[in-house]
Amino acid sequence: MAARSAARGGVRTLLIEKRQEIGSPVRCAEGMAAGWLEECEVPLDPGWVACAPEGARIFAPDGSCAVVASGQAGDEVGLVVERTLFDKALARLAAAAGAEILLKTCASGVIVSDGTVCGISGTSMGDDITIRAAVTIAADGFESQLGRWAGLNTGLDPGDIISTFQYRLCNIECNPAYCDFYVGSCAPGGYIWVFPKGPGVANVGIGIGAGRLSSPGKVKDTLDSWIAGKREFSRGQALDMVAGAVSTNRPLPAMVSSGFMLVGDAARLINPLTGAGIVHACLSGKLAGETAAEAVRRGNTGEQSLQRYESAWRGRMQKSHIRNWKARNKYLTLDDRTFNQIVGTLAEAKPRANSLSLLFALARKHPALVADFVDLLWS
Amino acid sequence: MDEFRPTARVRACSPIRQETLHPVFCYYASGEYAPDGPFAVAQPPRPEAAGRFGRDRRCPRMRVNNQRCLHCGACVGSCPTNSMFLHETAFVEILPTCIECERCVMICPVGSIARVSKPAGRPVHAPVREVGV
Repeated sequence: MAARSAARGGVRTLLIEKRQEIGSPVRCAEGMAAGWLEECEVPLDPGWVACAPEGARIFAPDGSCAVVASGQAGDEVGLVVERTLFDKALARLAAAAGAEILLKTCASGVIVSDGTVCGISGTSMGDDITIRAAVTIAADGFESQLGRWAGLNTGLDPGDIISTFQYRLCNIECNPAYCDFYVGSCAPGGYIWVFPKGPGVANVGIGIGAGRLSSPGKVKDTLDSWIAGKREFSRGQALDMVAGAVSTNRPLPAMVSSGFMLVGDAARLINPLTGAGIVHACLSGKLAGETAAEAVRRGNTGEQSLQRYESAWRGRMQKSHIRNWKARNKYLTLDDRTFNQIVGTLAEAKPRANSLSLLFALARKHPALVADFVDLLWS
Repeated sequence: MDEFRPTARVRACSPIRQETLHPVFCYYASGEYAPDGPFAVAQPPRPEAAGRFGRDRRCPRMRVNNQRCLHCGACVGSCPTNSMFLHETAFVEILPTCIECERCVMICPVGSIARVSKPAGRPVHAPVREVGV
């Protein structure tokens, strides 16, 4: 998205991808909202849509369930996509706008001149390469190191990391109308998800808070045990495995330095409560690309010039990010009995499928749960 | 910004990586500075370099089982000292700046990282599992 927006802004743009293929391997549960596509001018293409669920179901530890319908603007579920195809579609849009693409090109350092980031050093097809640029936008995901090399603090406390693992299972019984979420002690500090991808196929994954991990490999082991106990998955077979980590921290102190910007997961913009990141990545990328193009055209790519991106992002998302971070901190303290009560409340209230609606629904019957951030619900 | 000369050695921000750079031509990727012409022409790496950082520059006490590793980058993004590097989703390298906090050991979703004193993740040559067909 950043490359497309920068190229549309009339500046020469290079997109580098460290693998030989854009969009692979997948490190994602592949669920996302649909409402932002129009804002980012991304045409909805059935080719990269695996499934379009009607809503979400939240399962409590006691097996009770709350159904949350989607289909309205602002909802956070709506599509399950094929990231290998979706990412390529975004790259095609960038190429159509004039961006150039280099595959198998990996950054291993940033170049700094007079306190300004002016490019990267790395390898391309195994050979050393240096690329100079007036503005460098880091979209290198959770593992991102460019920001730290550029002097920005993107470090995470263990309590702000969720370790995840997922199978794409076939030959299972799943309902294509819903994305399912299982909360409680089955996934301490996180949740288990089942995102349908087609008849008998679903992404089945787990996220566990890093502070709750007591032994190596516990994430995969926990999911394996859970799947083994589910009758509807008894004949399931794995088509692929995906692993990764998700950040659940409060907003970073800085996303911009002279000649440099962070976007998406690299900027730690993931929703701390739900773990959703695709929408934030695309929206922040669009904004960063526009800002970069304007700065290059004006001949001023210093930190103050690029601050327009950070100011705009914080103005739009900071309050909800902090609210969701506080909600997640509360989430970490809940026991199974409380989860059962919460799901019961949601089943009665029937909120919309987004974080704010869920929190509002809880505020009425469980005010203690939202006391730490009740002011952010109404701001 | 200093004008680049093809014979000059490019200095990177991170001191760890300076000695791995080679004289290269630069590709200017911004609209204002971009010349017409081909991409950067890079020199091949020095034959004595073993891996990205050389064998003598790896943390001797932490190991990654690269046959178990899914190359997801969770360890890299979680490392408090930025001491890990994922080579293009091929293998993970742990640098000498590692403080052995073992955060990566716990965060790895599949348990592929361990201290040298312990088996790296689960043993590669574990007893063969009997699988009934």
